[in-house]
Amino acid sequence: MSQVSGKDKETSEDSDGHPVNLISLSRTSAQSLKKDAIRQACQDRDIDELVRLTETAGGLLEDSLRRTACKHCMLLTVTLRTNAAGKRANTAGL
Amino acid sequence: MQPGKGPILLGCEQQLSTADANDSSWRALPRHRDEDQVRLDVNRAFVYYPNGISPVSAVDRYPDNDTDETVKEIDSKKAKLSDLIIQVLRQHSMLCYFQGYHDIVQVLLLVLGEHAAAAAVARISLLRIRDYMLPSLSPALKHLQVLPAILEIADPHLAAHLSTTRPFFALAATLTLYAHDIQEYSDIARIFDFILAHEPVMAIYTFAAIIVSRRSELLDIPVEEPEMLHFTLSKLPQPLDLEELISNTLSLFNEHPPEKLPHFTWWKISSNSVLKTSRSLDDKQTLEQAEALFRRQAQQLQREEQRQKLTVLAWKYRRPACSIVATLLVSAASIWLRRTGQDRFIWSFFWKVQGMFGLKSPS
Repeated sequence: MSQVSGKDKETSEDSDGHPVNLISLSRTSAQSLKKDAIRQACQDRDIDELVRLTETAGGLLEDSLRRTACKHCMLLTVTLRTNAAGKRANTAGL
Repeated sequence: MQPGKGPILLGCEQQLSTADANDSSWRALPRHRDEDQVRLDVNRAFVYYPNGISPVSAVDRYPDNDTDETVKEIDSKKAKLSDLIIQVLRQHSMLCYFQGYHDIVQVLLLVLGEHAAAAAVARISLLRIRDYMLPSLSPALKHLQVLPAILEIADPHLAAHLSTTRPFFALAATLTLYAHDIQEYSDIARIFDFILAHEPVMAIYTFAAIIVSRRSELLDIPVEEPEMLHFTLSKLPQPLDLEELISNTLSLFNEHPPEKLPHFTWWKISSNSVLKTSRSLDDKQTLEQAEALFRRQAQQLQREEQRQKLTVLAWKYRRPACSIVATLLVSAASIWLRRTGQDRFIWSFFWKVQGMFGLKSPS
């Protein structure tokens, strides 16, 4: 049985036989998922979720998403109380 | 959160900010006292971003491009930045401009565009960085006092090592929400995502996290060289791993929240400070409410400054003051004793002493 090298694990082939970098693909997919999550949070006006997304890799990712967050949720000046237990409590009563 | 509720902001979405970029009525408002400084600072803007469009870097990167177009583009952006800042200052004339404010507004302009940026700049000025736009720098300096308290509780050995330096090394970074120090556009936009989505004190926790991450570098500098410590601390580390920094900042904040900082640090922060008034969404603050807080803070500052002046004056003239006070006290006591007849006991004692020394009393 042949051993698969680390480099082989990173690449695959698409339907046309062209090599595809799996790590890049994985990152692109993750970013795409995050963009969808940001748009959904803006649509739902879910500030908790938006704040959580600013804490994860890349933040709001792109200026277009930042503008969306600002337009729908005016995120830029939102603050949430973070209590001593580290839990985030939205005290807006919304 | 219930859909359709809200404005989710420090204030109400339906309450339009007076700073609407489509409304040019601000041009007719009286000139703000700091507009000259604004023009000087804006002239130095857009050096590093967007995309390094300054004429020097454009020539280096794209020698075949028309630098005249690049200069025009920069000038256009500078004009927009200047208009944006002056609009907000004229519409909220109590705000005092500070050098570095243009760094923050520059980022907002590039991210949001000139139309959306106006409202955001007004809200951020009054609801997040209001303390920096007061007539005095002392509220901003009080913010910095939170820094050594965080270090003391998070890393006592490092805090002791840095105790000979005052935290002014953090002033430029915290005042400008790091816009002055971070040169990559994507990085500053990323850090703005985080800082502006959390309460204002988070910017100080971020600097504390930077310091803690440089522990070994700082401990290598002798404590007898506070100038070297200050110099090192005033420059952000390069490269700066933002994601790790944000993660460390959150850990620091969760483990050592402001209320638990030592030496009553949080208690000493004014109740009118943005550090306290902009923590929660309980009160949906309007710009008018923020302006009222600004006025209260300004009055509080005035009273503090007068108290300090009186204290200095009293210390300077303490000897003559003590003499005058002593004289007045003795005089008052004498008058009181005479009026109440209590002086007879004093005279009686005086004659007894006189008799002991063989002196005759007057007839």
